[in-house]
Order: sequence, then structure tokens, then C-alpha cells
Amino acid sequence: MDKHLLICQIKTVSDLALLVSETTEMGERNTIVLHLKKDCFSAMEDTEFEQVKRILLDPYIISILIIDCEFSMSLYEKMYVFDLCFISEGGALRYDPKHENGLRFLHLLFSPKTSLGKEAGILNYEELMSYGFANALLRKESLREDLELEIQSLTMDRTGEQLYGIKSCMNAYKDCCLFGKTLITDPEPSCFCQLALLKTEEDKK
Amino acid sequence: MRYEFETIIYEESEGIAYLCINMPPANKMKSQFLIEISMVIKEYVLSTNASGIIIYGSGRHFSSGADVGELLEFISSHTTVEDGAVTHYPEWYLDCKESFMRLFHMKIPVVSAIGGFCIGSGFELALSSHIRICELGARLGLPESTFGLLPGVNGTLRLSEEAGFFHAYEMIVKGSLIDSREAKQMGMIDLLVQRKNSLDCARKLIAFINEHCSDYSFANRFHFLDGFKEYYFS
Repeated sequence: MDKHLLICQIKTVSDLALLVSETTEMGERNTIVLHLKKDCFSAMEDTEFEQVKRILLDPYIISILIIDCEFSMSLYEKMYVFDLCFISEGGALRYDPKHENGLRFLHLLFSPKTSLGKEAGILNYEELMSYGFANALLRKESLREDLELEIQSLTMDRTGEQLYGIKSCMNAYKDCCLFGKTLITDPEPSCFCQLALLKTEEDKK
Repeated sequence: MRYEFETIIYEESEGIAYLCINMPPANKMKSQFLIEISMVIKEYVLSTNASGIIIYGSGRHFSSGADVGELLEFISSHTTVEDGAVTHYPEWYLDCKESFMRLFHMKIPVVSAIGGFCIGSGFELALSSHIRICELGARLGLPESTFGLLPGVNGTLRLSEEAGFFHAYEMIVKGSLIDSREAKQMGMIDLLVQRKNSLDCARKLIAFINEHCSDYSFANRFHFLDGFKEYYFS
């Protein structure tokens, strides 16, 4: 699994530079995991964020965020560059109902129908899980094993073309739902029909 | 008014239009269904004067999804690819995708009454409705990725809108089925009812919306659903 997996532990913004250089130097990897030990993602400069975004939104890559620190609502505005978000025991949200854009992104990414109320406060990892604001909880003592199991259940028997197709659709729909862009070309028909053709060919072999 | 097709029954009764997936016991969607559903939506559903639409499955299951073998054959024989890009799509497929989207954009309540299996393109059809009423014990999911495909009839977009992008991605890539309680928790369904009660409940919901408002829209559907829950369940 290791040759397909890159895990970066992020404690400062400069740690993110590792992600950029690693992926460039070591070629294509299927899965990139950012283990956020400090909320430095929210405050990232636009130019740095653009670089990271370019890598994480690549349809050939599965990008995963593990939140393991206290974080602000602003993180949600950048979280869309990931495909999945896990939480560990250190994860806690400084909930601010007045942060309108963060709140909008939080709902669209995790749980459009959940109401969080009007009171500001800290939501710990258990509360975040109970609201559905993470895909799964990764326990500190078994974080690596839990993570690998999750990745395995995502990638086992899935072809690169499938993952590419699903993420291409997701990226296009995120642009529409999160940023109000018009969907000029829906990637779904092309990805769906191409996969059907590949599958038919494979079945004939 | 009642029209019976090979795979679908369309009926209007007491101001409600019913679209019944009629291929019991599993309601597996054959290519004939995918052709008929577009035709029924375009010719009957979109022009109905009914106050609401209910989609349901005949028998125990809503639908156990497409017949994959037949679907693959049907797609590959109607698709043209040149230099790695699709240059011609099967017309019935584009029709189906468009008619599901038009169903979703209707101005009257579109409600799915779900029991048993609601899988694959069956779930995509349910996701094309405004409100999903689901029976306890039902199982839902988009397992396309487990047999080399991806959801092809707006399922990725609609599931993301209902359950959020992260949960939709996980569910689509894993291709796992979940039970109705979990689906409710994740926002994929809107009302959980006892077994065999979804159709009756859908009927009552449309009557309730009809009685209490003249300004129904997809955007304010939960306003009416909350009122309905309070009236009937508390």
C-alpha cells in the first residue's frame, strides 16, 4: 500500500510544501492524506492554497483530511479540495454561527439538513461525529491501521478509470453547488458510457 | 385514468399521480423500463394536473436497480467512441437522465414511497423526487462501483445535494448499501415509517400539502414536511 499512499503530518503551513514537492518528485500516488495537527490550512495564503488545491483536486488522486486539532469555521471554506474527512480524538470545532460562508460549506460538504443552532461554542470529535461532520473516527492508538482499512475499502477492486470518473463528476458538481458555477458539460454521461464500454470489453475477455 | 405499460403503471386518482415500477418481485430495471420511464415522465407526468406525484414499487421492493448485464450490452451497442472520447451517446440513456432531472424540477410535490431494496438506478429515481418516505428495514445504495461502473442517472449530484459531498463520495466509491435508519441519519431520506406504510404516508403527505398551502416549492418542502410530521406523528 505504501507506494500508493502519501501521508503528510501538517503542523505548520510550510509542512504543506512537502506535499507539493513529494508529489512532484515521487510521481503519481493514488492517495494523499493530510494529517492536520494544527489548523494552519485555514490561514493559508491564496497562492499556496492554489498549489495544494491543484494537487488534491486531481481526479486520479483520492485526497483525505484527518482533523486532529482544534479548528475554526474557516477551514470548511477550504475543505472542499478533499474527497473525505476523518476525525481523530484531537479534533474540535470552534463553532461560530455567524461565520456564514463556513456554515454554508459545512452543510454542503457534510450534512445539508442538520441544524446546529445559534450558540457559539466548542464541538468535540464525538459531537462532530454525531452530527455527521466526518466520514469516520480514527482512534489515536490505531490511527494508521484504521486509515489503511478505510483506504482499502475505497480502492480495492476499483479501477483508476472509475475513481477518475467519480471524482471528475464530484469536482464539476462542487463547482456548481459550492461556487454557483453553471454546469456547461456534465462529465457523467461520458464517464458512465466509457466505463460501460471498458467493462463490456473486459467481460468478453 | 390508468395506463398500463410493460414495466410501469401510470395512474391518476383523487388528484394524485402514481408512477408504479411494475416488474415484481424485485423490480429490476430492464432496458425496456429505462425507455418507458422517460416516455411516461415526458408524456404524462410533466403535464399532469394532479396535486402531487408518488413513485413506488409494486410488491415488496422499490427497485433492485438495473439489470447490469443487459444494461452494459445496451450501452455498448449504442455508444460510439473516437480517439478516446465519446462521440455518440445512446439516446434512451440521455432521455432517461433528462427526464429524471425534469421530474426533479417539477413544481408540485414529487414523493418516493420506498420499501425493501432501493438500489442503483432505482435509488437514482428516488433521488429525483423531492421527498423520500422510507420504510423500516429498507436498504438503499449506489453499488455501481462494485461492478465497474459509476451512477449514471444524476445519482452523484443528487446524493451530494441530499447527504453532502463527503458522504456521497464515500457511499459511491465504496458502493455499500445502508439501511433506512442510517440513510435517514445521513439525510438521504426524509421520513421513516413502519413497514408497508410508505405509500399511505406519501398519499397523506400530498393531501396535507394540498390542504395547507398554495405555494409549495422544492425549496420550502421541509416546512410542509415538518408540519405534516407534527400533525400525524406527535
